Amino acid sequence: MNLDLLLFSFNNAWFGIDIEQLAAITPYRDDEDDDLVSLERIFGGQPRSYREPRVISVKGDGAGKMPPYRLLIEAPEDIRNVDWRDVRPLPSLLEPFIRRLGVWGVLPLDERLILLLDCHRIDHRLRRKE
Amino acid sequence: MSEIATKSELLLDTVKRRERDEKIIEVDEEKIKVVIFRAGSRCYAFYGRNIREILTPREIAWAPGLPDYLPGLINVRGDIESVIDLRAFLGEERADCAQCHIAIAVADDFISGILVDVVEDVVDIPASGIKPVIAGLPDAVRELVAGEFEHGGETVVLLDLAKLAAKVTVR
Repeated sequence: MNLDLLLFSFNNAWFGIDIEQLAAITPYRDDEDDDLVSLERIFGGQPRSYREPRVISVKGDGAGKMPPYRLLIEAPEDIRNVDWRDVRPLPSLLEPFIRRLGVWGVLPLDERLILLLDCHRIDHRLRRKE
Repeated sequence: MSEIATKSELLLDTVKRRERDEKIIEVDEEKIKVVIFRAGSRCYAFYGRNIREILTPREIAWAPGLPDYLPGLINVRGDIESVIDLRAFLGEERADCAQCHIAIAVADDFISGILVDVVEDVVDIPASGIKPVIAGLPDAVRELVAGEFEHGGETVVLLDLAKLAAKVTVR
């Protein structure tokens, strides 16, 4: 089984999202409304500026537990088709900390480590605006 | 010819016997392999059985949501391992990850990379040379210590990987 991954960077780290979870990728506009979530809100840290901001529209999970929402990211670098057998589990020491952020695995790719992000497993409390 | 041993013969016999006994002790005394490394201002060691390999400095990939003592993860020939900054527990200044070697440490089902400044030596030491730590270490470090020994004129703090694993593992 293969995965089509949307690859983008955040804080000098690389992330990959299964494009099956995505409905659209659009340029960011200043008049974006309240359902827009930034990665720094999920991952923590100071608000940051984006060179080429893009908005990805995440589909609902189909089970009603996770409604659709929109995520602000840096412009994706690529979409890559990868073999799922190349995916590695998270080291057990790290898993309790980053699993709730939606990171479910690691993919070694071109000398980089891609953190695989499941948009449907991001703790919904982290997506809410304070 | 007299059958009675002279004083010198008795003394010589005693000396030889003691020398023989000492040799037997030297042969039989348990030796323990340790990996000695520097982290900040002090020398520390792990039991050799707990260190699988030492990696040269390399890029550590950041991951979100990690505490200070976990700088990220590395790729070891296809296996993804966590990295621990040991200095966070030793009261030492935080390490420059880009300059540090990484010891791959294993104990039972625990495995992780551990940042070390440099590996100083890998030696066998007599078990009797490992003494309890008497003084001079912060309480937080004492929680991780198995003992201390002398090496090259310096006191080396022997760390217990199982204790470190228990401290950093979140159940």
